[in-house]
Amino acid sequence: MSASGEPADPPVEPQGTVARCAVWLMSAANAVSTAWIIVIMLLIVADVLGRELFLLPIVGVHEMVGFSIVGIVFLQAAHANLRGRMIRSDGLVTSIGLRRPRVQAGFDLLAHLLGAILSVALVFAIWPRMARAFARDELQGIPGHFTLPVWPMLALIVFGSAMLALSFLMAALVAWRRLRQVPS
Amino acid sequence: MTNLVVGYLSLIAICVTIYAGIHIAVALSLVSMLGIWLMMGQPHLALVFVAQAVTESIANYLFGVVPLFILMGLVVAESGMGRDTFAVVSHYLRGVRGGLGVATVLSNAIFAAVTGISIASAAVFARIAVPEMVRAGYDRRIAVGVVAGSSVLGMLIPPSLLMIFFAFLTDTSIGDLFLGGVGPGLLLTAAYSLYLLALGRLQPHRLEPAGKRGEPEARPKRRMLLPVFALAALVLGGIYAGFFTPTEAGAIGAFLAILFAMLMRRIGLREAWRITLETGHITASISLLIIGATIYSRMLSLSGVPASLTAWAAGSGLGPIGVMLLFSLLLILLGTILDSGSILLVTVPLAFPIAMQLGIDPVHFGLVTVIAVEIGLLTPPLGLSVFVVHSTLRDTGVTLGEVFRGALPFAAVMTAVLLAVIFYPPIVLAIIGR
Amino acid sequence: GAEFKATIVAGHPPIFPWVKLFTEVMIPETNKALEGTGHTIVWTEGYGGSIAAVGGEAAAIEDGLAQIGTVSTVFAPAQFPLQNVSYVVPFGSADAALVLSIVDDLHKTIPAMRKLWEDRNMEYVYSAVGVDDYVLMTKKPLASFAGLNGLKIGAPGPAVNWLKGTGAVGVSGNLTTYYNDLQTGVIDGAIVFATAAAPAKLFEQAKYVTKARLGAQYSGATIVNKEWFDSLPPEVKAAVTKGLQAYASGYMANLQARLDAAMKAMEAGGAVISELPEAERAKWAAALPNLPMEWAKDQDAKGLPGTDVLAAFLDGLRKAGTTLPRDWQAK
Ligand code: NA
Ligand code: NA
Repeated sequence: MSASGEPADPPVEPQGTVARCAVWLMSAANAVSTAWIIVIMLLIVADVLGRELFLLPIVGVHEMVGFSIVGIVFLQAAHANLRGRMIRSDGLVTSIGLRRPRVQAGFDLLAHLLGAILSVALVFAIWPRMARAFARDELQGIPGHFTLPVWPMLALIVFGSAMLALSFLMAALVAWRRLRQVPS
Repeated sequence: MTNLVVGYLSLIAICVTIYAGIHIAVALSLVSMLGIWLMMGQPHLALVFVAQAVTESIANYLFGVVPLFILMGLVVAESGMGRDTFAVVSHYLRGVRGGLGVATVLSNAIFAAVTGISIASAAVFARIAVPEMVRAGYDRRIAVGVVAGSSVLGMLIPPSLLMIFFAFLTDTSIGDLFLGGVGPGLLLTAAYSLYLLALGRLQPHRLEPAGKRGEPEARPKRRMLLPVFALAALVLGGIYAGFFTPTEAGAIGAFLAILFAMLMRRIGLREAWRITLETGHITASISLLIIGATIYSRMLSLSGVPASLTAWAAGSGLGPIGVMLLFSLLLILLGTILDSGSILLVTVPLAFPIAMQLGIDPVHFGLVTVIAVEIGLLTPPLGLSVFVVHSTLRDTGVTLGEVFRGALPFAAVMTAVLLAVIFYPPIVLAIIGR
Repeated sequence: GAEFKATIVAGHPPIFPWVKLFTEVMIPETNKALEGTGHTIVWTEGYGGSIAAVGGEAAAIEDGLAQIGTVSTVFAPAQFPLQNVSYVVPFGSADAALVLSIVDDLHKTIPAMRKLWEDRNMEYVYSAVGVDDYVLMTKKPLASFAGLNGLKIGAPGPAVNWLKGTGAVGVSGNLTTYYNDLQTGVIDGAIVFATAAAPAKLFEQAKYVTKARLGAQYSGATIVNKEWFDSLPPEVKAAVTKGLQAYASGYMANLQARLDAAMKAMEAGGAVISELPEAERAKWAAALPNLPMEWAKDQDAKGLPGTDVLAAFLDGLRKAGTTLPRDWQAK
């Protein structure tokens, strides 16, 4: 499974107003995401009970759950990253770091910067599709049965990726300070 | 540069970046983008490719239930159901040398029926069983090894998150995979128990030195097993009675687990929220990994690497057994540095077409894959179950190396079970009548 | 001569005939037509989700990720509403070749059909992909329309609408889940087409195959990226067109043979095949809401010629001598 038992990185502590605002935003998104998990649980339970007991399934559960998982993940990603929960295999780098802490700080900086680059790339990759889906009123699902607009899902990915970029940059800043402070 | 060369170079690039400590999802995505740029010649197509993969990778019902399986696992771990199971089982085995170890294994097997993730099992039994065994005079290394080793049952006996991943990647039936896990799960339970009983005979001083055999203070009540059995019966019974699908079982299981835990007054609303939040963190990190792996496996398959490997495997005369042995070896090697989810995501899209070409049953192949990947939970330097046991017990002074050394014999027993499963498919397939 | 790059996309894996034919017919025929022109095409094949998932092919072609591909219009009904006309007319024709040719003709006579492609940077070259007549597979025999009452039926995409008002309830699913869902009893039956149901061995769980003639369907088209196609020199354009034509005739040629083989395979596997009597079929059709007209009015409201497309489609069916169990256009 995942590296969930043990944080891969130490949590990032916010410094300065911008960082504090960012952390507040990420925590708010995290709360929405957490509540959303409970909502889909109840939705599926209600669908099963409705179908089996009254032959009345809830229309569109499959579509709603597919949409929800994207929302849950992208609203949660930045906060999880802030808490050092993004999975990485840093055993080798850590063991080097025991003797050469600056090398480790350098690798950490690189990892977080690459993470930020990818997150920004995601924003640029998804944005045009979001704009297009919005302009065309694109729908997913089955007309006459159940449909959902496409753009909100894409907007959540854009928003979540932007926050993720921010959280990577905050972690990069911490690594940068370590690089400067630690004697070589 | 041909597409094929780009594909093979990307395999090397992935290894290097992962060893360099780049976040795995980031490494997979960025290397893939570079690969697409090289293959298609236009950098903006790399962005389009990523957009296509990101929007399609996790946005579906099957994947949507992943957080619910995680939630169920965490709730049963927090609600003390594992502790109760262990108390009852160890009571009945108190006269046997090595009995506490066997009790840990059996409790894990029972607990596995209500959790789909191994970290839940590892955390629960590290907290309960290790202190008991140490008090009874067990060599601490064995105590932590038993817990880490038997935690793999959590994802081998259904329900199992790894099997959901495998089904997700290969369009194999989850119901069949779940059933297929029963045989190997019971076999592994038996093999661990035999190993411990043998150890009790051969090296009794490492288990329960004479006169130090633990006497439980109070006789535990058998009805303490009721919630675990009820939950397992409702979830697994519900699936096989056709009340809900294996996919829907995550929601039902999580809901019932929370209900039971609250009725038993083991968790309140505040704990339920905290556990759900933890679920969200795990879900996000796994899902980003899945997105990265989707991007990577698409790039790889576009480069023609899987097709060329399939052709090679088909022409090599290795045959199904040879290919499964080779693949297992690769998985065990990868298991030293990668977590099980990532390994599955990176390798299965490559290997599954080969297996199908050779006529291997998809469920058999799925179980071989899951067992081989789970060995990695126990091997250094990155062994997730070992990490969880260690971090749960850190304040008792247990070192990471001690847990790894303790888990090694169990990894060896797992390897033996893996070989049995490879060479004798009915262990997996008999139950589904294939 | 110059070297051109072409990537082919299909969301389905190459076990499906419309995907396999790219490798077996389309590419070799195009290459053959290119011989002597001095030009070559370097092909990249992206099937089974390696570029786009089923339903996502259109976006991949529109954005230039692929130049040629099969777009599963049935799984993108909101983007290609007019192309889905056959799905909103249940009990149409059991003849897939007929349905495909009617919808293909609509592309010639009704410009809005082509415009839906062109607005997305795609060129419709004749090459339709279809699904053979949908049948009902159930665990218990289904002799009459009333037998549907209270059943839970697995239904793909737009087919859930065919159960409205029947007393049966549609359960979303797909071919990978039906077998298990039937086995455990989550569903009592499924609406499927024979060429997919046979390899999935659904008859092992639901052996009663009722041919209700729910209808063969137009489910997708083979499309080229317009910008890329327009940029090709005439001789390369001609070669690609030739390859696509060979692909299309290859696809049409074996349609009936594949269906017959699938039916035979199911029968050999123990399936009990029967026809739903015409009177029962009419009861079913009468119980449904007027799906075609509802759909047509929806399209009209969006500024698309829904009523015209529906009328032309129904005309096409009647001209071929198809008897419809209900006059959908009755006032
Ligand atoms: Na389990
Ligand atoms: Na490992």
